[in-house]
Amino acid sequence: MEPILIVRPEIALDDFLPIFLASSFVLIFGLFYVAIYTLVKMEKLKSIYQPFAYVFWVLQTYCMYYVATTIQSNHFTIKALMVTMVCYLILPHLWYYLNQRAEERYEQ
Amino acid sequence: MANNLKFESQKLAINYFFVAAVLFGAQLLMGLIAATQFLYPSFLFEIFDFSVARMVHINALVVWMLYAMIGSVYYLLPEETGIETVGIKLGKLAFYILTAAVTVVVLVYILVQVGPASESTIWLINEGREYIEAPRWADIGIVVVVLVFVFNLFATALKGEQTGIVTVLMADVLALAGLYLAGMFFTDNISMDQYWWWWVIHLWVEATWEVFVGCLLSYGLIKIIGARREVVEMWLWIEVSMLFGSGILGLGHHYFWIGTPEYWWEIGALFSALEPVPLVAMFVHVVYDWGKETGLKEGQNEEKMMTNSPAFAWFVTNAFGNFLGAGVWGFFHTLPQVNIYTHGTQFTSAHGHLAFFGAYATILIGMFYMGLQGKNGITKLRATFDSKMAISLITIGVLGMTVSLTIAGYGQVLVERAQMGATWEAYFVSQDFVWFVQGMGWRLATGVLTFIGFIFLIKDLLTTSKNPIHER
Repeated sequence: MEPILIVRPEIALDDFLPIFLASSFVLIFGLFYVAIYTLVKMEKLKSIYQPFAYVFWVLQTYCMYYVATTIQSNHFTIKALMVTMVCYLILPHLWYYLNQRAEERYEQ
Repeated sequence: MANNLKFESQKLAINYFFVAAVLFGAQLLMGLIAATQFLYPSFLFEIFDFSVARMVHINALVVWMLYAMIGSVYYLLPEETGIETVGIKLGKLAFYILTAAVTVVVLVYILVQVGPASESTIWLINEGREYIEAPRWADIGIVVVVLVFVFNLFATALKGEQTGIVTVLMADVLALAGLYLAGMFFTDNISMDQYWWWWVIHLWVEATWEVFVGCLLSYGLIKIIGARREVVEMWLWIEVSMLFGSGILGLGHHYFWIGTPEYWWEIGALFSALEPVPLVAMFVHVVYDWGKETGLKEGQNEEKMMTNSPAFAWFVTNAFGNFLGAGVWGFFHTLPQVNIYTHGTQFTSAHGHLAFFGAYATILIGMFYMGLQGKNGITKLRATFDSKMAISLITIGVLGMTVSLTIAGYGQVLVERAQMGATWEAYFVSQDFVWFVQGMGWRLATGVLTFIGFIFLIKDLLTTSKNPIHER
Protein backbone atom coordinates (compact mmCIF):
# COMPACT_ATOMS: atom_id res chain seq x y z
CA MET A 1 0.00 0.00 0.00
CA GLU A 2 1.25 3.49 -0.90
CA PRO A 3 2.08 5.50 2.21
CA ILE A 4 -0.15 8.55 2.53
CA LEU A 5 1.87 11.74 2.74
CA ILE A 6 0.19 14.76 4.25
CA VAL A 7 2.29 17.90 4.10
CA ARG A 8 1.78 19.95 7.22
CA PRO A 9 2.03 23.70 6.65
CA GLU A 10 4.84 25.16 8.72
CA ILE A 11 4.06 28.57 10.14
CA ALA A 12 7.02 30.85 10.81
CA LEU A 13 7.53 31.61 14.52
CA ASP A 14 7.16 35.33 13.88
CA ASP A 15 3.79 34.78 12.21
CA PHE A 16 1.94 33.34 15.20
CA LEU A 17 1.15 36.61 16.93
CA PRO A 18 0.06 38.42 13.70
CA ILE A 19 -2.19 35.44 12.89
CA PHE A 20 -3.89 35.53 16.28
CA LEU A 21 -4.32 39.30 16.13
CA ALA A 22 -5.50 39.42 12.51
CA SER A 23 -8.04 36.63 13.01
CA SER A 24 -9.44 38.49 16.04
CA PHE A 25 -9.65 41.68 14.00
CA VAL A 26 -11.66 39.83 11.34
CA LEU A 27 -14.47 39.58 13.86
CA ILE A 28 -13.93 42.87 15.65
CA PHE A 29 -13.85 44.92 12.42
CA GLY A 30 -16.83 42.90 11.19
CA LEU A 31 -18.68 43.86 14.36
CA PHE A 32 -17.83 47.55 13.86
CA TYR A 33 -19.07 47.33 10.26
CA VAL A 34 -22.52 46.02 11.19
CA ALA A 35 -22.71 48.15 14.35
CA ILE A 36 -22.07 51.44 12.52
CA TYR A 37 -24.36 50.41 9.67
CA THR A 38 -27.11 49.53 12.17
CA LEU A 39 -26.72 52.73 14.18
CA VAL A 40 -26.99 54.78 10.98
CA LYS A 41 -30.15 52.87 9.99
CA MET A 42 -31.54 53.45 13.49
CA GLU A 43 -30.75 57.15 12.99
CA LYS A 44 -28.63 57.14 16.16
CA LEU A 45 -25.69 58.19 13.97
CA LYS A 46 -25.73 60.66 11.09
CA SER A 47 -25.50 59.14 7.62
CA ILE A 48 -22.18 60.92 7.17
CA TYR A 49 -20.65 58.12 9.28
CA GLN A 50 -21.81 55.42 6.86
CA PRO A 51 -18.49 55.35 4.91
CA PHE A 52 -16.70 54.39 8.14
CA ALA A 53 -18.74 51.18 8.15
CA TYR A 54 -17.33 50.34 4.72
CA VAL A 55 -13.80 51.22 5.88
CA PHE A 56 -14.18 48.60 8.61
CA TRP A 57 -15.45 46.08 6.06
CA VAL A 58 -12.37 46.71 3.91
CA LEU A 59 -10.10 46.28 6.96
CA GLN A 60 -11.92 43.10 7.89
CA THR A 61 -11.58 41.68 4.39
CA TYR A 62 -7.88 42.54 4.32
CA CYS A 63 -7.37 40.78 7.69
CA MET A 64 -9.23 37.73 6.40
CA TYR A 65 -7.03 37.63 3.30
CA TYR A 66 -3.91 38.13 5.43
CA VAL A 67 -4.83 35.25 7.74
CA ALA A 68 -5.73 32.98 4.82
CA THR A 69 -2.38 33.57 3.09
CA THR A 70 -0.26 33.44 6.27
CA ILE A 71 -1.65 30.09 7.31
CA GLN A 72 -1.04 28.86 3.76
CA SER A 73 -4.64 28.05 2.83
CA ASN A 74 -5.08 26.66 -0.65
CA HIS A 75 -6.36 28.87 -3.47
CA PHE A 76 -9.86 27.47 -3.40
CA THR A 77 -10.26 28.28 0.30
CA ILE A 78 -8.96 31.82 -0.17
CA LYS A 79 -11.45 32.40 -3.01
CA ALA A 80 -14.29 30.93 -0.94
CA LEU A 81 -13.39 33.18 2.00
CA MET A 82 -13.37 36.26 -0.24
CA VAL A 83 -16.80 35.33 -1.64
CA THR A 84 -17.97 35.01 1.97
CA MET A 85 -16.72 38.52 2.68
CA VAL A 86 -18.69 39.89 -0.30
CA CYS A 87 -21.78 38.12 1.04
CA TYR A 88 -21.11 39.71 4.42
CA LEU A 89 -20.99 43.12 2.74
CA ILE A 90 -24.37 42.54 1.09
CA LEU A 91 -26.17 40.82 3.98
CA PRO A 92 -27.00 43.87 6.20
CA HIS A 93 -28.17 45.82 3.13
CA LEU A 94 -30.46 42.98 2.15
CA TRP A 95 -31.80 42.60 5.66
CA TYR A 96 -32.64 46.28 6.14
CA TYR A 97 -34.12 46.48 2.63
CA LEU A 98 -36.45 43.54 3.35
CA ASN A 99 -37.24 44.92 6.79
CA GLN A 100 -38.13 48.32 5.36
CA ARG A 101 -40.30 46.84 2.63
CA ALA A 102 -42.09 44.63 5.18
CA GLU A 103 -42.79 47.60 7.42
CA GLU A 104 -44.11 49.65 4.50
CA ARG A 105 -46.51 46.86 3.61
CA TYR A 106 -47.47 46.44 7.26
CA GLU A 107 -48.27 50.14 7.61
CA GLN A 108 -50.38 50.13 4.44
CA MET B 1 -41.05 31.24 51.56
CA ALA B 2 -43.96 32.48 49.42
CA ASN B 3 -44.44 30.92 46.04
CA ASN B 4 -46.53 32.93 43.59
CA LEU B 5 -46.19 30.49 40.71
CA LYS B 6 -49.48 28.96 39.64
CA PHE B 7 -48.10 26.24 37.37
CA GLU B 8 -46.56 23.09 38.84
CA SER B 9 -44.17 23.11 35.89
CA GLN B 10 -42.74 26.46 36.99
CA LYS B 11 -42.42 25.26 40.59
CA LEU B 12 -40.43 22.30 39.28
CA ALA B 13 -38.29 24.73 37.28
CA ILE B 14 -37.31 26.52 40.51
CA ASN B 15 -36.07 23.17 41.90
CA TYR B 16 -33.95 22.70 38.78
CA PHE B 17 -32.54 26.23 39.12
CA PHE B 18 -31.71 25.58 42.78
CA VAL B 19 -29.67 22.44 42.03
CA ALA B 20 -28.06 24.20 39.05
CA ALA B 21 -26.85 27.02 41.33
CA VAL B 22 -25.41 24.49 43.82
CA LEU B 23 -23.57 22.66 41.03
CA PHE B 24 -22.33 26.00 39.68
CA GLY B 25 -20.73 26.63 43.08
CA ALA B 26 -19.22 23.12 43.05
CA GLN B 27 -17.81 23.79 39.60
CA LEU B 28 -16.10 26.99 40.77
CA LEU B 29 -14.68 25.33 43.91
CA MET B 30 -13.21 22.46 41.90
CA GLY B 31 -11.81 24.97 39.42
CA LEU B 32 -10.05 26.79 42.25
CA ILE B 33 -8.55 23.52 43.53
CA ALA B 34 -7.31 22.58 40.04
CA ALA B 35 -5.93 26.09 39.43
CA THR B 36 -4.05 25.93 42.76
CA GLN B 37 -2.61 22.51 41.89
CA PHE B 38 -1.24 23.92 38.62
CA LEU B 39 0.91 26.30 40.67
CA TYR B 40 1.49 24.16 43.78
CA PRO B 41 1.46 20.50 42.70
CA SER B 42 1.81 19.32 46.30
CA PHE B 43 -1.54 20.92 47.23
CA LEU B 44 -3.81 18.07 48.46
CA PHE B 45 -1.24 15.58 47.16
CA GLU B 46 -2.47 11.96 47.46
CA ILE B 47 -5.74 13.26 48.92
CA PHE B 48 -7.40 14.81 45.93
CA ASP B 49 -5.99 14.20 42.45
CA PHE B 50 -5.76 17.01 39.89
CA SER B 51 -7.47 14.75 37.38
CA VAL B 52 -10.47 14.38 39.70
CA ALA B 53 -10.69 18.12 40.43
CA ARG B 54 -10.55 18.86 36.70
CA MET B 55 -13.10 16.16 35.91
CA VAL B 56 -15.62 17.35 38.52
CA HIS B 57 -14.99 20.97 37.42
CA ILE B 58 -15.92 20.14 33.82
CA ASN B 59 -18.74 17.68 34.56
CA ALA B 60 -20.34 20.03 37.09
CA LEU B 61 -20.29 22.68 34.37
CA VAL B 62 -22.06 20.46 31.85
CA VAL B 63 -24.55 19.16 34.41
CA TRP B 64 -25.46 22.54 35.98
CA MET B 65 -26.09 23.91 32.52
CA LEU B 66 -28.28 20.96 31.59
CA TYR B 67 -30.18 21.38 34.87
CA ALA B 68 -30.68 25.10 34.18
CA MET B 69 -31.72 24.37 30.59
CA ILE B 70 -34.32 21.78 31.63
CA GLY B 71 -35.51 24.21 34.33
CA SER B 72 -35.79 27.02 31.79
CA VAL B 73 -37.97 24.90 29.51
CA TYR B 74 -40.22 23.84 32.39
CA TYR B 75 -40.47 27.54 33.32
CA LEU B 76 -41.38 28.97 29.92
CA LEU B 77 -43.47 26.02 28.70
CA PRO B 78 -46.78 26.82 30.49
CA GLU B 79 -46.54 30.50 29.50
CA GLU B 80 -45.85 29.69 25.86
CA THR B 81 -48.35 26.85 25.47
CA GLY B 82 -50.98 28.25 27.84
CA ILE B 83 -51.42 24.92 29.66
CA GLU B 84 -49.84 23.00 32.52
CA THR B 85 -47.01 20.72 31.40
CA VAL B 86 -48.30 17.26 30.50
CA GLY B 87 -46.71 14.49 32.60
CA ILE B 88 -45.55 16.88 35.30
CA LYS B 89 -45.66 14.14 37.98
CA LEU B 90 -43.30 12.05 35.87
CA GLY B 91 -41.14 15.15 35.46
CA LYS B 92 -40.94 15.62 39.23
CA LEU B 93 -40.02 11.97 39.75
CA ALA B 94 -37.32 12.31 37.09
CA PHE B 95 -35.94 15.38 38.86
CA TYR B 96 -35.51 13.58 42.18
CA ILE B 97 -34.01 10.49 40.52
CA LEU B 98 -31.57 12.65 38.52
CA THR B 99 -30.56 14.67 41.59
CA ALA B 100 -30.00 11.53 43.66
CA ALA B 101 -27.95 10.02 40.82
CA VAL B 102 -25.82 13.15 40.35
CA THR B 103 -25.16 13.27 44.12
CA VAL B 104 -24.03 9.63 44.20
CA VAL B 105 -21.84 10.09 41.09
CA VAL B 106 -20.13 13.21 42.49
CA LEU B 107 -19.54 11.52 45.88
CA VAL B 108 -17.99 8.53 44.10
CA TYR B 109 -15.77 10.83 42.06
CA ILE B 110 -14.59 12.62 45.18
CA LEU B 111 -14.34 9.71 47.64
CA VAL B 112 -13.39 6.74 45.46
CA GLN B 113 -11.63 8.58 42.60
CA VAL B 114 -10.02 5.60 40.82
CA GLY B 115 -10.87 1.95 40.20
CA PRO B 116 -9.14 -1.17 38.87
CA ALA B 117 -9.67 -0.06 35.23
CA SER B 118 -11.86 -3.09 34.55
CA GLU B 119 -15.47 -3.41 33.42
CA SER B 120 -16.60 -2.61 37.00
CA THR B 121 -14.82 0.77 36.88
CA ILE B 122 -16.69 1.74 33.74
CA TRP B 123 -19.99 0.69 35.27
CA LEU B 124 -19.53 2.07 38.78
CA ILE B 125 -16.90 4.83 38.87
CA ASN B 126 -15.99 6.56 35.63
CA GLU B 127 -16.64 5.86 31.98
CA GLY B 128 -13.57 7.87 30.97
CA ARG B 129 -15.21 10.00 28.30
CA GLU B 130 -14.07 13.58 28.77
CA TYR B 131 -16.89 16.01 29.68
CA ILE B 132 -19.38 13.14 30.05
CA GLU B 133 -17.56 10.84 32.45
CA ALA B 134 -20.65 9.53 34.26
CA PRO B 135 -20.41 5.78 35.03
CA ARG B 136 -22.43 3.52 32.75
CA TRP B 137 -25.36 3.07 35.18
CA ALA B 138 -25.77 6.85 35.48
CA ASP B 139 -25.26 7.26 31.76
CA ILE B 140 -28.26 5.04 31.04
CA GLY B 141 -30.23 6.77 33.82
CA ILE B 142 -29.53 10.20 32.27
CA VAL B 143 -30.94 8.97 28.95
CA VAL B 144 -34.14 7.80 30.66
CA VAL B 145 -34.55 11.10 32.56
CA VAL B 146 -33.93 13.16 29.42
CA LEU B 147 -36.45 11.05 27.49
CA VAL B 148 -39.06 11.85 30.15
CA PHE B 149 -38.22 15.55 29.69
CA VAL B 150 -38.47 15.30 25.90
CA PHE B 151 -41.77 13.45 26.20
CA ASN B 152 -43.18 16.12 28.53
CA LEU B 153 -42.12 18.91 26.16
CA PHE B 154 -43.60 17.23 23.08
CA ALA B 155 -46.82 16.14 24.79
CA THR B 156 -47.38 19.66 26.16
CA ALA B 157 -46.52 21.41 22.90
CA LEU B 158 -48.81 19.13 20.88
CA LYS B 159 -51.71 19.66 23.31
CA GLY B 160 -51.28 23.41 23.88
CA GLU B 161 -50.48 26.37 21.68
CA GLN B 162 -47.41 25.95 19.46
CA THR B 163 -45.50 29.19 19.30
CA GLY B 164 -42.35 29.56 17.20
CA ILE B 165 -40.19 29.36 20.33
CA VAL B 166 -41.77 26.07 21.42
CA THR B 167 -41.53 24.59 17.91
CA VAL B 168 -37.82 25.41 17.67
CA LEU B 169 -37.33 24.01 21.17
CA MET B 170 -39.00 20.74 20.16
CA ALA B 171 -36.59 20.23 17.27
CA ASP B 172 -33.63 21.38 19.31
CA VAL B 173 -34.25 19.25 22.39
CA LEU B 174 -34.76 16.16 20.24
CA ALA B 175 -31.34 16.76 18.66
CA LEU B 176 -29.80 17.52 22.06
CA ALA B 177 -31.10 14.28 23.55
CA GLY B 178 -30.28 12.20 20.48
CA LEU B 179 -26.70 13.42 20.23
CA TYR B 180 -25.95 12.19 23.75
CA LEU B 181 -26.30 8.63 22.47
CA ALA B 182 -23.27 9.13 20.22
CA GLY B 183 -21.06 9.33 23.33
CA MET B 184 -22.41 6.17 24.93
CA PHE B 185 -20.73 3.38 22.97
CA PHE B 186 -17.15 2.30 22.48
CA THR B 187 -15.27 1.25 19.36
CA ASP B 188 -11.85 -0.43 19.40
CA ASN B 189 -10.44 2.16 16.99
CA ILE B 190 -9.68 5.30 18.99
CA SER B 191 -10.02 7.55 15.91
CA MET B 192 -13.53 6.30 15.27
CA ASP B 193 -14.25 6.50 18.96
CA GLN B 194 -13.17 10.15 19.13
CA TYR B 195 -15.12 10.92 15.95
CA TRP B 196 -18.36 9.85 17.60
CA TRP B 197 -17.53 11.34 20.97
CA TRP B 198 -17.01 14.73 19.32
CA TRP B 199 -20.56 14.67 18.04
CA VAL B 200 -21.84 14.96 21.58
CA ILE B 201 -19.85 17.87 22.91
CA HIS B 202 -19.16 19.77 19.73
CA LEU B 203 -22.64 19.60 18.27
CA TRP B 204 -24.14 20.20 21.67
CA VAL B 205 -22.32 23.44 22.21
CA GLU B 206 -22.05 24.72 18.66
CA ALA B 207 -25.47 23.75 17.36
CA THR B 208 -28.11 22.61 19.83
CA TRP B 209 -27.06 24.74 22.80
CA GLU B 210 -26.68 27.83 20.62
CA VAL B 211 -30.20 27.37 19.25
CA PHE B 212 -31.40 26.80 22.79
CA VAL B 213 -29.84 30.12 23.82
CA GLY B 214 -31.65 31.75 20.88
CA CYS B 215 -34.97 30.41 22.26
CA LEU B 216 -34.26 31.67 25.79
CA LEU B 217 -33.15 35.05 24.48
CA SER B 218 -36.33 35.33 22.41
CA TYR B 219 -38.51 34.44 25.40
CA GLY B 220 -36.56 36.83 27.65
CA LEU B 221 -36.78 39.75 25.23
CA ILE B 222 -40.54 39.33 24.88
CA LYS B 223 -41.01 39.17 28.66
CA ILE B 224 -38.52 41.81 29.75
CA ILE B 225 -38.71 44.57 27.15
CA GLY B 226 -41.88 43.59 25.29
CA ALA B 227 -40.15 42.79 22.00
CA ARG B 228 -42.51 41.90 19.12
CA ARG B 229 -42.91 38.15 18.87
CA GLU B 230 -42.97 38.12 15.03
CA VAL B 231 -39.61 39.86 14.84
CA VAL B 232 -37.96 37.70 17.48
CA GLU B 233 -39.29 34.44 16.06
CA MET B 234 -38.28 35.35 12.50
CA TRP B 235 -34.70 35.78 13.71
CA LEU B 236 -34.91 32.58 15.66
CA TRP B 237 -35.65 30.61 12.49
CA ILE B 238 -32.80 32.32 10.62
CA GLU B 239 -30.47 31.48 13.48
CA VAL B 240 -31.62 27.88 13.48
CA SER B 241 -30.80 27.40 9.81
CA MET B 242 -27.47 29.20 10.05
CA LEU B 243 -26.37 27.56 13.27
CA PHE B 244 -27.24 24.05 12.20
CA GLY B 245 -25.49 24.60 8.85
CA SER B 246 -22.34 26.17 10.22
CA GLY B 247 -22.33 24.02 13.36
CA ILE B 248 -22.52 20.66 11.60
CA LEU B 249 -20.12 21.43 8.74
CA GLY B 250 -17.87 23.51 11.00
CA LEU B 251 -17.33 20.29 12.96
CA GLY B 252 -14.91 19.41 10.15
CA HIS B 253 -12.28 21.67 11.70
CA HIS B 254 -11.66 18.92 14.26
CA TYR B 255 -11.63 16.06 11.77
CA PHE B 256 -8.08 16.55 10.58
CA TRP B 257 -6.90 15.20 13.94
CA ILE B 258 -8.54 11.84 13.42
CA GLY B 259 -7.54 10.82 9.92
CA THR B 260 -10.60 11.86 7.90
CA PRO B 261 -10.03 12.90 4.26
CA GLU B 262 -8.17 16.14 3.70
CA TYR B 263 -11.12 17.99 2.11
CA TRP B 264 -12.53 18.31 5.64
CA TRP B 265 -9.76 20.83 6.32
CA GLU B 266 -11.29 23.22 3.84
CA ILE B 267 -14.96 22.50 4.59
CA GLY B 268 -14.36 22.69 8.33
CA ALA B 269 -12.27 25.86 8.08
CA LEU B 270 -14.75 27.67 5.88
CA PHE B 271 -17.84 26.79 7.86
CA SER B 272 -16.26 27.29 11.26
CA ALA B 273 -15.30 30.75 9.96
CA LEU B 274 -19.01 31.31 9.30
CA GLU B 275 -20.02 30.20 12.80
CA PRO B 276 -19.78 33.66 14.37
CA VAL B 277 -22.05 35.18 11.69
CA PRO B 278 -25.34 34.15 13.38
CA LEU B 279 -23.90 35.35 16.69
CA VAL B 280 -23.21 38.76 15.18
CA ALA B 281 -26.69 38.73 13.62
CA MET B 282 -28.18 37.93 17.02
CA PHE B 283 -26.27 40.81 18.57
CA VAL B 284 -27.35 43.23 15.83
CA HIS B 285 -31.01 42.33 16.11
CA VAL B 286 -30.99 42.73 19.90
CA VAL B 287 -29.44 46.20 19.61
CA TYR B 288 -31.69 47.21 16.71
CA ASP B 289 -34.92 45.97 18.28
CA TRP B 290 -34.13 47.43 21.67
CA GLY B 291 -33.26 50.84 20.18
CA LYS B 292 -36.37 50.81 18.04
CA GLU B 293 -38.73 49.71 20.79
CA THR B 294 -37.46 52.28 23.28
CA GLY B 295 -37.56 54.97 20.57
CA LEU B 296 -41.21 54.18 19.87
CA LYS B 297 -42.08 54.25 23.56
CA GLU B 298 -40.32 57.59 24.03
CA GLY B 299 -42.15 58.98 20.99
CA GLN B 300 -45.49 58.01 22.49
CA ASN B 301 -44.46 59.44 25.90
CA GLU B 302 -44.73 55.99 27.39
CA GLU B 303 -42.44 54.54 30.02
CA LYS B 304 -39.84 52.15 28.65
CA MET B 305 -40.70 48.57 29.48
CA MET B 306 -38.12 46.85 31.69
CA THR B 307 -39.52 44.25 34.03
CA ASN B 308 -36.32 42.55 35.14
CA SER B 309 -33.11 44.59 35.12
CA PRO B 310 -30.69 41.94 36.44
CA ALA B 311 -31.94 39.34 33.92
CA PHE B 312 -31.64 41.88 31.10
CA ALA B 313 -28.11 42.77 32.20
CA TRP B 314 -27.16 39.07 32.04
CA PHE B 315 -28.85 38.75 28.62
CA VAL B 316 -26.85 41.72 27.29
CA THR B 317 -23.68 40.14 28.71
CA ASN B 318 -24.69 37.04 26.79
CA ALA B 319 -24.73 38.93 23.48
CA PHE B 320 -21.21 40.29 24.11
CA GLY B 321 -19.89 37.13 25.73
CA ASN B 322 -21.18 34.91 22.96
CA PHE B 323 -19.46 37.05 20.36
CA LEU B 324 -16.19 37.33 22.29
CA GLY B 325 -15.93 33.81 23.71
CA ALA B 326 -17.42 31.65 20.99
CA GLY B 327 -16.65 34.10 18.17
CA VAL B 328 -13.32 35.88 18.64
CA TRP B 329 -11.63 33.38 20.96
CA GLY B 330 -12.98 30.50 18.89
CA PHE B 331 -12.05 31.84 15.50
CA PHE B 332 -8.49 32.79 16.28
CA HIS B 333 -7.49 29.23 16.91
CA THR B 334 -10.06 27.21 15.03
CA LEU B 335 -8.53 27.10 11.54
CA PRO B 336 -6.80 23.71 11.17
CA GLN B 337 -3.53 25.27 10.08
CA VAL B 338 -3.40 27.15 13.39
CA ASN B 339 -5.18 24.56 15.52
CA ILE B 340 -2.48 22.00 14.77
CA TYR B 341 -0.26 24.14 17.04
CA THR B 342 -2.83 25.36 19.56
CA HIS B 343 -4.94 22.23 20.17
CA GLY B 344 -4.85 21.08 23.78
CA THR B 345 -2.86 24.08 25.01
CA GLN B 346 -4.21 26.71 27.38
CA PHE B 347 -5.59 28.46 24.27
CA THR B 348 -8.32 25.81 24.19
CA SER B 349 -8.92 26.41 27.87
CA ALA B 350 -9.13 30.21 27.38
CA HIS B 351 -11.68 29.76 24.59
CA GLY B 352 -13.61 27.20 26.66
CA HIS B 353 -13.85 29.44 29.72
CA LEU B 354 -15.10 32.53 27.88
CA ALA B 355 -17.33 30.66 25.43
CA PHE B 356 -19.13 28.59 28.09
CA PHE B 357 -19.51 31.64 30.28
CA GLY B 358 -20.40 34.13 27.56
CA ALA B 359 -22.70 31.96 25.52
CA TYR B 360 -24.38 29.84 28.19
CA ALA B 361 -23.72 30.71 31.85
CA THR B 362 -24.84 34.32 31.35
CA ILE B 363 -28.20 33.49 29.81
CA LEU B 364 -28.90 30.73 32.31
CA ILE B 365 -28.17 33.06 35.25
CA GLY B 366 -30.57 35.48 33.52
CA MET B 367 -33.16 32.67 33.62
CA PHE B 368 -32.49 32.21 37.38
CA TYR B 369 -33.61 35.83 37.78
CA MET B 370 -36.68 35.23 35.61
CA GLY B 371 -37.62 32.32 37.87
CA LEU B 372 -36.96 34.39 40.97
CA GLN B 373 -39.22 37.15 39.67
CA GLY B 374 -42.08 34.75 39.02
CA LYS B 375 -41.66 32.90 42.31
CA ASN B 376 -41.80 36.09 44.38
CA GLY B 377 -44.57 37.74 42.36
CA ILE B 378 -42.42 40.76 41.47
CA THR B 379 -43.62 42.99 38.62
CA LYS B 380 -40.39 44.99 38.37
CA LEU B 381 -37.22 43.32 39.54
CA ARG B 382 -34.58 46.01 40.02
CA ALA B 383 -30.80 45.79 40.07
CA THR B 384 -29.39 45.73 43.61
CA PHE B 385 -25.87 46.34 44.92
CA ASP B 386 -25.40 42.57 45.18
CA SER B 387 -26.65 41.89 41.66
CA LYS B 388 -24.35 44.58 40.24
CA MET B 389 -21.38 43.22 42.20
CA ALA B 390 -22.22 39.69 41.05
CA ILE B 391 -22.34 40.49 37.34
CA SER B 392 -19.28 42.80 37.52
CA LEU B 393 -17.04 40.47 39.52
CA ILE B 394 -18.01 37.30 37.68
CA THR B 395 -17.58 38.95 34.26
CA ILE B 396 -14.27 40.64 35.13
CA GLY B 397 -13.09 37.41 36.75
CA VAL B 398 -13.88 35.24 33.72
CA LEU B 399 -12.40 37.81 31.30
CA GLY B 400 -9.28 37.92 33.49
CA MET B 401 -9.01 34.12 33.48
CA THR B 402 -9.42 34.11 29.71
CA VAL B 403 -6.68 36.66 29.09
CA SER B 404 -4.33 34.90 31.56
CA LEU B 405 -4.91 31.54 29.92
CA THR B 406 -4.43 33.08 26.46
CA ILE B 407 -1.02 34.42 27.47
CA ALA B 408 -0.08 31.08 29.02
CA GLY B 409 -1.30 29.32 25.87
CA TYR B 410 0.66 31.63 23.61
CA GLY B 411 3.83 30.74 25.51
CA GLN B 412 2.95 27.07 25.15
CA VAL B 413 2.33 27.38 21.40
CA LEU B 414 5.69 29.04 20.79
CA VAL B 415 7.86 26.95 23.09
CA GLU B 416 6.12 23.59 23.30
CA ARG B 417 4.74 23.29 19.78
CA ALA B 418 6.54 25.58 17.32
CA GLN B 419 10.09 25.67 18.70
CA MET B 420 10.46 22.27 20.33
CA GLY B 421 8.10 20.28 18.11
CA ALA B 422 5.52 18.89 20.57
CA THR B 423 7.78 16.39 22.31
CA TRP B 424 7.39 15.11 25.86
CA GLU B 425 10.35 17.25 26.95
CA ALA B 426 8.85 20.28 25.18
CA TYR B 427 5.73 19.97 27.31
CA PHE B 428 7.68 20.15 30.56
CA VAL B 429 9.92 22.98 29.37
CA SER B 430 6.85 25.05 28.49
CA GLN B 431 5.32 24.33 31.92
CA ASP B 432 8.22 26.23 33.49
CA PHE B 433 8.12 29.04 30.94
CA VAL B 434 7.72 32.36 32.72
CA TRP B 435 4.68 33.43 30.65
CA PHE B 436 3.00 30.16 31.44
CA VAL B 437 3.62 30.30 35.19
CA GLN B 438 2.60 33.94 35.50
CA GLY B 439 -0.48 33.31 33.37
CA MET B 440 -1.49 30.50 35.71
CA GLY B 441 -0.96 32.78 38.70
CA TRP B 442 -3.25 35.43 37.28
CA ARG B 443 -5.78 32.74 36.38
CA LEU B 444 -5.95 31.68 40.04
CA ALA B 445 -6.28 35.30 41.24
CA THR B 446 -9.08 36.10 38.79
CA GLY B 447 -10.67 32.74 39.60
CA VAL B 448 -10.93 33.83 43.23
CA LEU B 449 -12.55 37.07 42.02
CA THR B 450 -15.12 35.02 40.08
CA PHE B 451 -15.90 33.02 43.21
CA ILE B 452 -16.46 36.19 45.24
CA GLY B 453 -18.85 37.33 42.49
CA PHE B 454 -20.66 34.00 42.82
CA ILE B 455 -21.13 34.59 46.56
CA PHE B 456 -22.73 37.98 45.77
CA LEU B 457 -24.96 36.26 43.22
CA ILE B 458 -26.17 33.67 45.73
CA LYS B 459 -26.68 36.38 48.37
CA ASP B 460 -28.78 38.38 45.90
CA LEU B 461 -30.84 35.37 44.88
CA LEU B 462 -31.51 34.45 48.51
CA THR B 463 -32.45 37.97 49.68
CA THR B 464 -34.64 39.03 46.74
CA SER B 465 -37.86 37.75 48.33
CA LYS B 466 -37.53 40.18 51.25
CA ASN B 467 -35.94 43.12 49.43
CA PRO B 468 -38.33 46.14 49.44
CA ILE B 469 -36.56 47.73 46.42
CA HIS B 470 -38.54 45.55 44.02
CA GLU B 471 -42.03 46.51 42.78
CA ARG B 472 -44.75 44.00 43.58
